[in-house]
Amino acid sequence: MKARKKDYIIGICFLLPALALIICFIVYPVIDAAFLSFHSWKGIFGQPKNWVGLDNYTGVLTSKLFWNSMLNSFWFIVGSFLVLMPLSFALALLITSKLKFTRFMKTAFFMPVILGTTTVALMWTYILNPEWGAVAQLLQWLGLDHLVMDWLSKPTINVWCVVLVNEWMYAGYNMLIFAAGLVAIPQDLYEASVIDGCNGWQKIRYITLPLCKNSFKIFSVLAVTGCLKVFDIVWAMTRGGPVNSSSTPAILLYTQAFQYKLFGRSSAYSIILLVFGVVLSLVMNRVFRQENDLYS
Amino acid sequence: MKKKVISLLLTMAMLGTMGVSAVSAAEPDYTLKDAKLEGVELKLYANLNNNSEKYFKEKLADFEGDTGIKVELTNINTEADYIDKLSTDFASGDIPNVFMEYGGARCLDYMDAGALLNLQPYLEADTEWYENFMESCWEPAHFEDYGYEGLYCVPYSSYQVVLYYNKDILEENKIEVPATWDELLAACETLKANGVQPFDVGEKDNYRFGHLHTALSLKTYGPEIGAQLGSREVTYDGEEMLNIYSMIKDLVDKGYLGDNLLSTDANQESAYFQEGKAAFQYNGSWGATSIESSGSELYKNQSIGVARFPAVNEEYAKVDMGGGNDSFFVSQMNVSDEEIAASVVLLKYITGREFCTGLMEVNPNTMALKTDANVDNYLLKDIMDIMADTETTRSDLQNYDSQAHMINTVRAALQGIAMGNTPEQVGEEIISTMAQYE
Repeated sequence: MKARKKDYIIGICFLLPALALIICFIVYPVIDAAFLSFHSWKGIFGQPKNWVGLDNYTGVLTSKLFWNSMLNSFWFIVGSFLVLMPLSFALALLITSKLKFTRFMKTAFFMPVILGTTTVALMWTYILNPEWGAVAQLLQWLGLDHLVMDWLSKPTINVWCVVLVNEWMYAGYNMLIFAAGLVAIPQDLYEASVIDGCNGWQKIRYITLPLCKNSFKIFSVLAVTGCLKVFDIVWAMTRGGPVNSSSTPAILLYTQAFQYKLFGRSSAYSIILLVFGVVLSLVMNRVFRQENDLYS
Repeated sequence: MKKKVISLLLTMAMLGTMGVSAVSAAEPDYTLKDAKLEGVELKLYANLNNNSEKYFKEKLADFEGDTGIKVELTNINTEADYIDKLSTDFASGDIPNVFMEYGGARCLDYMDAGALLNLQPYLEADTEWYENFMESCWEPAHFEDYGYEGLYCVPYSSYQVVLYYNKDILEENKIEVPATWDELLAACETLKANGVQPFDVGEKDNYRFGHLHTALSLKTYGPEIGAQLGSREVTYDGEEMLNIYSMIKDLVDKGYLGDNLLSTDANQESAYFQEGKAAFQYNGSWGATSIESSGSELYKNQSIGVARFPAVNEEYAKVDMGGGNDSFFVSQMNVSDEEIAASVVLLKYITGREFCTGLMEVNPNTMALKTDANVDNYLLKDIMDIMADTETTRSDLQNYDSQAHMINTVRAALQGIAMGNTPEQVGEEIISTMAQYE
């Protein structure tokens, strides 16, 4: 019994540093933001915070701007599942295959992640420039002048442009998640499937995909939460404009605080985002657990 | 008896001490002549270009050597990022001692919080310093309309929005420099018909339409339009403003302002004009310096000219967008008396005649201070003449509002014109955003 107690104490001691960091950098800021979300504060240190009850929440939830930003985040989620997931998985299959030059491919596919968001955003902003950008030049060369437009200024189209740039950038990163799952699959299974007469597609369908469930789960949770709080790439490419047409909730959170000096409302945005993120993560876990049960 | 005498003496001594301290509290030494400030550390925030930043760093090292006051300069080139940095630091409590801002409604929250030092007593105690500022540039320092007496900043540079034009293009197309709005529209029509782009506006930076909106409003309705909008006597969805939005929309629809307004930023706009790809550019007087420093051939050949922004209503022909531009404020929040005194000493140094004369040599500009510098830039000389002949200047209309968010709100809504929004939609957008924050 004593030994068990000692083990607990040692365990707690090992946990304490991490716990302290979590309390300082996650729990405390969340509690502080929750507190601030019920107050009105102009963002000047030491100035009183005035209690406004649920006004900030009703302000956010009845705002057209907020729901438009949520729609933009939704497009990011759609893009993640329709474009990023298949692309990353295909790249992972490629780099874990027995093809030549896989080392080069790994580096090449991961390069956009190393470049950094601002660099990628700036590069694509230039590529998409309707006057002298590479895409416009290519379309003009192909005689498709009518397709040239100011892509980053048209509502919805501008969001999709950013979504696709985001997928291009993060394909390499997610490729690694899938590749980690792929290399963990025992080779015997593939050898056995060959004996059973499986072709390439059947191997993927009946062996690779079911055994990569955990990778898909990790991808889904990261993608959904990442899309909800996406900020950097949108800010660097469009600053949420024009006229907030490409704003995401995280951009509104920032502008409400630092441009409009409505720190209470900005905190309400952050708490609403947190709740959405937690709920969607739980849903994801639930969905994948059910599917796991089915296969077990 | 002895006790009574002692207590009487003690009471008198106490009262005497209190009296002396009351006198000294009532009349602090605003001249700061005997202030001992060695070892004080200050933070200075500014939004300077590279030339000015280099000059500031060099001179601040000299200042430290002379006074023993250490100054840490934080400079951010881009205005939007600079303002965000300032807001963030005000929120976190890491407030700079001296900082650059533009005054008006955008500083109202700082005023309401009691964060800004009233500089009037310091200026009055040092008339030489006070008189070195141009009289016409004090507008950003006044907050009387909001109930605060005094002067809360010192102006640094001044500006005026003017019309730059390409002499060669106008000559080739037989166009006179437009002095009125109708003449400008006629010139644009001729240029467009001849395949020349009249303007190439970089509305990706939404202050571009913001400035156009202010300039047109002042030229149409006169200098009080900002105050009328601020008091809601004139509304953003009313006839007057719809008229201004329509004027801008008309230019957009006819392609006079360029074809890719929202993918062009202000820097690209300037580059296009300096390369001769557009006939006109409306811009602040700071444009003269950037044209010179760009190394433009047009500038070297003196092919760029500058004129007053065209008149819409003759009555207000000499009412222009301009006045005091960036100004320096001193924070009195969470700081010691020594830090406040040292901040004022620093302020006097960086707004002194000698300092500003040197600054003008590395970065010629229209200053709000008198300097001994000789200006070589021919455009700047012409602009100074225009400014001297200007009757009234007003800054961004939203600087006269009681809501600090208005400048962002109006600029964001105006950007909608470049997306195809109607004047009514622009007005509606502004009103609905205002309703959210009131």
